Amino acid sequence: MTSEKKSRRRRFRASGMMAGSKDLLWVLLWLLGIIAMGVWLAFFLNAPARALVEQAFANTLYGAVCVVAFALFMGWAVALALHGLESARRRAPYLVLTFLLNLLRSVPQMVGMLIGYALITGLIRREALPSTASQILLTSVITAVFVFQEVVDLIVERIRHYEHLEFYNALLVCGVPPRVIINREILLKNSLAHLVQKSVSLFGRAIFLICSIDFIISVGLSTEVSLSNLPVTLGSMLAKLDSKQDILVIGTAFTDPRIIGTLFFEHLQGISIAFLIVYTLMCVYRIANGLMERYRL
Amino acid sequence: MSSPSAEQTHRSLRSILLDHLLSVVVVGVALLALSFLVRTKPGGSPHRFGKEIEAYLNIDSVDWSLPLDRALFRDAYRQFHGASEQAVDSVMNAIEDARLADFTDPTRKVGGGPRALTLSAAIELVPMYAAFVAVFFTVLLITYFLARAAAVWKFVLWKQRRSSYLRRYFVALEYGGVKNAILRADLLAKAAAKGFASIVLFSPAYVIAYSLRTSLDTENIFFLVLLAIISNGVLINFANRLYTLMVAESRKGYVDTALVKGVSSGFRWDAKDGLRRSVLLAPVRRSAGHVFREIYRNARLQFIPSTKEHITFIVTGLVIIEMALNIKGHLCYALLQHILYKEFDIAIAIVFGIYLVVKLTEAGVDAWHAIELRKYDNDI
Repeated sequence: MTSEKKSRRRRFRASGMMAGSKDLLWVLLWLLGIIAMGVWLAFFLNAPARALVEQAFANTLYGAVCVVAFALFMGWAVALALHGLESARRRAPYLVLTFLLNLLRSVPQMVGMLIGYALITGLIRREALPSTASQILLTSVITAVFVFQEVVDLIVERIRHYEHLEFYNALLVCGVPPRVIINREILLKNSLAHLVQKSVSLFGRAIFLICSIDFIISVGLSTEVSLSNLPVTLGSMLAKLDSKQDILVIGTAFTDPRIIGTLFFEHLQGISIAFLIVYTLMCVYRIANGLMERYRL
Repeated sequence: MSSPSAEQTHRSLRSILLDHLLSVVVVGVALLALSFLVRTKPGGSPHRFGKEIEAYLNIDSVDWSLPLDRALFRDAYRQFHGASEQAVDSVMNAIEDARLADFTDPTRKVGGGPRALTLSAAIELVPMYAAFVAVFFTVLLITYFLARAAAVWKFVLWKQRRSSYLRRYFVALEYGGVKNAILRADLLAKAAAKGFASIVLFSPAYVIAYSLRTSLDTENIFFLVLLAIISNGVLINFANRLYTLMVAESRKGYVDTALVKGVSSGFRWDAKDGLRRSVLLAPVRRSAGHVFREIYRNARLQFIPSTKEHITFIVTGLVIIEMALNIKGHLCYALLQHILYKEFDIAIAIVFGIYLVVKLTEAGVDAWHAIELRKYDNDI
């Protein structure tokens, strides 16, 4: 076999592997995109603005990771409670819990989060939340309250799926307690891919919600005074006047293509924030989809 | 007489509808209690702050909206009084409170507007509410049909084993060299167009709206509907859910049985045993005698309940658009204004109105699902 054929075959094998694990490909693309943008900003954006963008990105990611962690914790706990009540045939508490979950499911996330943010703003003004970390943690808890039902649905569905199989009864006969069967055998050993995929998709949802609520609070409620000193995120950064002006230039570029070049040198703050939001959302969606395809979830 | 299973479906629909009604009552009572607690007092007394704070606010050379001026004041205050960081923070918070109280003073509200939830205030909300409901249902319907077409399109391409444009381009490049690279440049253009469409579909509404604000009128209702459909990932998530269900259905045993029985199973467009392109518009009617019909129908049955998730997501999208773009005369803009001016009872009434729309639509979806389920009952 000639060396050219060998290299061709190698390249095809590599592209085939990438097609089979699109999630990894998109993780790689996301990291490369972020690094490339970081390098670009290091050359062309002034240091204070760059520090703000970096801080906003870090806070947004930290917030989204916390949302996923809280949502998994809440979802796991509520799903186990639901299953426990159902198994113990305690119909009244089971119905109450299901009713409350359905009630929460029908609240549009943005409306619920607005109410939650009003509470946080009050606490910050009373200096009850002194550190940035504690403010982000509390906002994450509120966001998680409006997304954790997806985790509950997934866990309940996985438990039901395995209960209908011989697997569950066989383990019971072997003397394994139901608690261990559910937590270790069903969820950790046989549903890890599902949980990871759900976590990735929740991560994307959390970024979208955090950015949107911060944008609304920053731009919608007031342009003259800061209603609260919430930690800076990509959403609140985008709402700043200079970032908004940068974004407005995109529209001007449609009618005056000569200024397209300036977008990447003179309007970097707004453009880079918009890029970080959109690119991250797109990549996270692709990663979640890739996981779904790879594990046939 | 209906069969037991039909009776069961009927009963469960009734209990589901009762569940929705109970939710509305519970939320309504809770919000009513809350609105009494936070009820706006007509002609409330203006805020008064200490003389020290008012004196600081009256310093002519300080523009309090500028971060630089605030930072300079901080340093000056710390050095002049020899104050600790905590004491400076306290003064700065008091100044911010005073400015906020002044800014949210009802006398400064543009256009006046109602202060408390009275009958006239409720009547003023009605046209805004009607417009919100109309926009919501329009967006929901268009999104459903577009997502359905997109999901069917993606599924057929998946069955055709089509690889991505970029991959096909690289294969052409691998085997045909530079000449093929030039001849198949259309694949690159298609990949770029697909990439651009992805960026638009994943962009939050405010990014798109602000990008187009200088060249388009972004405050009319058509733009609002368009934005609600194409942005925030609404369409792509909606379509992907149906596509995933169709892929899962196509892997089930009954599909193989149907193929053995000789049902059409080709997925090439307009081929003899393939699918007509009109299947994108009417998937059931235009696929008679094809295995796709059963795959689609079974996937749709599971897809209907998941529509409820998308309802709340569409409402979230609309709230974001109306609030972020500050479109005057729209319900969510009014909601934001009432929150800003602490007219919480009116804000709560608006929130309840939005909740009511969601619940009504969810009840409709449940009824639709129950009707579809009945079609599968053997009622002979």
